Amino acid sequence: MQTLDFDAFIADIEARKTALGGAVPASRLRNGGGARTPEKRAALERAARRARAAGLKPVPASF
Amino acid sequence: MLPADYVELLGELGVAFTAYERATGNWPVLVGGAATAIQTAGDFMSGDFDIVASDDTAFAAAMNEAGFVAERSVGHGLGGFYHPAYPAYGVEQVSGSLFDGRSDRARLIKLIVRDGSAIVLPSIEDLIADRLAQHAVASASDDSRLMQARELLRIAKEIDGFYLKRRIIEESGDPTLLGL
Repeated sequence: MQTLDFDAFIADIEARKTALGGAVPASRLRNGGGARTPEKRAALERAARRARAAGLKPVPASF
Repeated sequence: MLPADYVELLGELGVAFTAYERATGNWPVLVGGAATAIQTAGDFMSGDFDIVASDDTAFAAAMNEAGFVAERSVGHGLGGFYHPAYPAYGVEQVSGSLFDGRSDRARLIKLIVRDGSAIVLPSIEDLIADRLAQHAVASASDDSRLMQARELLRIAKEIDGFYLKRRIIEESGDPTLLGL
């Protein structure tokens, strides 16, 4: 197992993305949710409810 | 770019990972959409964290030690957790072994988030193979996991093509979708 610094790891990816360009829109990468289990749908719904209760914007997700 | 609160939560999750490793001698592994979000440095966000950890009791204890709260308990003792300081995110323990034991654990990536906090991700090849496996069972109208696989491959620093193709086939994915 290789061990790396998190910040350096992310910075390296960011640099490659910048060099390559052509980022795919987030909407094209987000799981459409069609194959989620009922348990996963419920978990995502609970997280969205917790976020709203705390006055936060839920993380975008299909469930 | 990964949101600041997302990275902060990863720091807390890393405390749990470290506690679990200390108790069991094995590292949990973050998989699925959250692992993909990290490996793409936030090209898209996933609010749920799926973690493969085989010892239910040790996992629950480690999560508790890191300040996470158990939200429920369902079959096989597996349950969900959240951190009260980061309520928009949820954590789920995944049953079974990592990729049914077919991945090469020597390729795992340990990321030190801060002192006493580290998370572990699958190799980029295993993550791509997993995304294609998910694509294979997704509805025809949802190609998001294929797009994730292609994006991971596009921005990868280096790829072991032989291992990648083997793992895609093992996961019942289609390597030709990536031109392999």
